[in-house]
Amino acid sequence: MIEVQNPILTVDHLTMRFGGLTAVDGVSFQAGAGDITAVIGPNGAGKTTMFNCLTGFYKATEGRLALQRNGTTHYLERMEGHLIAARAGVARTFQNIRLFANMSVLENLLVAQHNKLMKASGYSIAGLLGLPSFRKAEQEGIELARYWLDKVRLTDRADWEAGNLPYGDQRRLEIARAMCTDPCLLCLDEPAAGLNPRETAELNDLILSIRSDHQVGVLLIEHDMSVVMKISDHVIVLDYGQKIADGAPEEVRNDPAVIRAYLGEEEDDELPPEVAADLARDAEEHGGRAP
Amino acid sequence: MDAQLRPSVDEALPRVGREAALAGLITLALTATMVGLHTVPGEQSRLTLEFRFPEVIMAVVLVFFGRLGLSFTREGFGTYGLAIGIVIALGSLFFPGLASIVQILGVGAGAIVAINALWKIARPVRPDRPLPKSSAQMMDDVAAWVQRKSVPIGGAGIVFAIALPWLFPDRSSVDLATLVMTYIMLGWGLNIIVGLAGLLDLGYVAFYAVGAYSYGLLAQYFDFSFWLCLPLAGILAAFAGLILGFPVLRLRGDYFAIVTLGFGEIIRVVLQNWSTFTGGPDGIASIPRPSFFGIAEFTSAPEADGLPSFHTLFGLEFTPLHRLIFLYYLILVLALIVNAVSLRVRKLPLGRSWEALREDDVACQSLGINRRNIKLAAFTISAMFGGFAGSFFATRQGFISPESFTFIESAIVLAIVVLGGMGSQTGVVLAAILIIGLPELFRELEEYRMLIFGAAMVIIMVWRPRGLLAHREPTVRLHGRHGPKAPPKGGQAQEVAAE
Repeated sequence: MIEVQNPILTVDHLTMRFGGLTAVDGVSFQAGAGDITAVIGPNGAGKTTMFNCLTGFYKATEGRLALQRNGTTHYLERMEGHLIAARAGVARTFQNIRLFANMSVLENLLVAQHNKLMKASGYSIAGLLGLPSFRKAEQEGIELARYWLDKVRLTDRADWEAGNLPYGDQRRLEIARAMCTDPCLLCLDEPAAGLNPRETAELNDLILSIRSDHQVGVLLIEHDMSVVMKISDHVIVLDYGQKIADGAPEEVRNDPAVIRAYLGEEEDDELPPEVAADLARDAEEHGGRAP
Repeated sequence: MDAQLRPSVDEALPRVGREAALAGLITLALTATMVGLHTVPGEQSRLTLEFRFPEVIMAVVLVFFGRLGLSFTREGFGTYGLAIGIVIALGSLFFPGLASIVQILGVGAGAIVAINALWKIARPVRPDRPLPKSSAQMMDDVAAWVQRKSVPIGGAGIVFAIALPWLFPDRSSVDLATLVMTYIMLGWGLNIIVGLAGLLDLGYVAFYAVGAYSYGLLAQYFDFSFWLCLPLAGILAAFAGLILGFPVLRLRGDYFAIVTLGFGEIIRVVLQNWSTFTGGPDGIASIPRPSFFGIAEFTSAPEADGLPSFHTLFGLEFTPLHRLIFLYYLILVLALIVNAVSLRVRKLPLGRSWEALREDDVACQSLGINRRNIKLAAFTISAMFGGFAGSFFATRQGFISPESFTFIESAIVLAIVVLGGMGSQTGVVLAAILIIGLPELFRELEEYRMLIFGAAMVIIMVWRPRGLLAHREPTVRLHGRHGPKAPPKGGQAQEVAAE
């Protein structure tokens, strides 16, 4: 395992079993604060399962998930699902986009600030009375939403129903929504899936600016190597639930284990001696005749 | 349409005729037994079968000509359709010896055929014009319009509701209006759970029962007045909601619905069997009527229980209508409070999180929303409103028994919410009038009214599966109402994002 300078997340021997199937098998790694850490691997390698363990949708069978935030350590494997986002500050997006489709774009971003606004609304009592303190908090919420709308270029479409947005916009909106929860670690599950090259390039810029402007660590599952190799600081490769490589993008790219996992074994093994002898005899018997 | 493209009548006639004949045949098959066979008491108190030939023939003729008219209109011969529609209407009106129900049906059917034809004549399909909107699209536009104009429409509705006892100052009208208003209040209360939070609650009547029995029992055992019991009933029902909510809220979807159904029944069965406390199936009788805010009683005697009577206090002639009108205004105010609170909460973080929960509860958790708490809040608030309605029900009826809180009540309230369009406050009003008001108004039609009611429900569900006025306006806008236009409902923006 590569020791990271200033880890925000330390995953230690994470294992997730579903009955007899071990989807994630003793994976350990660290993700640096302010780094973009990519998790790659063939389909079914256990990447999304690992994300679900991290964000509380699955309870890990074994292992420790330690997250550092403002000097305190949160052990994610012991926390209730919603607290992982609310207290530990882990936000995520989904492989199949999960927006609130019938709500407007702006409302999607306001729901993401639920805990903050709920407190400001005095658990709805101050809100029902329409107290100025709540109005102010809501205005601030809208301003934050507007900031992110500007950032993902959706300000014009703020009042659209989220489900009516084009696909690429929905992907960006989901990232903006996750960022509105004010996270310290952003987990993106295949953010470039279904995007065209131009949108992918924009996505790269967005992720880089999130990292640089907001001091957020990014954990990224991605199949699109143009994203992974260009923006990530650190790449982790999973195959059959196990970590097979861990390092800088260039190292991983040339790692024989990674190439084998993606492209399969090269057929350069020697044939067993008996088979080789058989083949040679065959060739002699049929020598000279047309095959 | 171009003259060459349009088929001639000779071409269309066989096709149209075949369709109409087929529809007639199907009607014959359907009505031959269901309408045609009629059991009558014969000799020695035995039932004998009688065949009602004229009714079957009438049904077949009506369907045949109706289909003929509609098909002609569809093929572009609006005038033929119009003529057939008028013939059906006049024929059923003046044909000798028809029952009144057949006349009503015939005139109605003829009118539908004629109006359909007129519509087609008024707006012929031409390539240079936009295609005519489908009826579903038109209804979507209506729903959006109602939502946008909700303030004037709601204001007009409230003014009408306030003026209603003066417009129709008779016992049956005020009673009916009170009944409808009770269901509107229940519908608005349930709308919080079902419409906003998206949790299918089949046991809402439980909270209605808790509210009613809270008042009934508190009045019986402790002699509490209605005005003290009203908030208490709400609190007790909210408490019931909280207690029932805890075990139920871990469940989702169908499982949730089944368990709420079970809880609704549990409450009723407890009320029925705990006879030493609740009076069992006999219920609680002579529940006190509400006073006029504790300063006057609605009695014919000038004074009762140390309070002056309402008519002497205001120098009016005594009439029992005073109390009925007072009860009507009471439920109106209660219902409007429910409406105001739910409209307001919808725009608060709590209400938004309910709607988010309805849309996608997994995403809710990923945003740090405590799903259990917001579900409990929805359950509790909704239960409280149900409790208010229940205590009103108890004081209006003066008698309650477990019979009044069967599953069918939950089903009716749920039908009001679903029919009106999930989450639409105006839709609930419309649906309550349709479901409660119309069957009461058409009591003269006797057994046919439930038949027509059932048919109307089926038609609405086929025609508008999302409810009559299902349209959602955002709770907050960045650009105001006149900002960049959003695409129509359901229409994915066609442009490519990389413009």
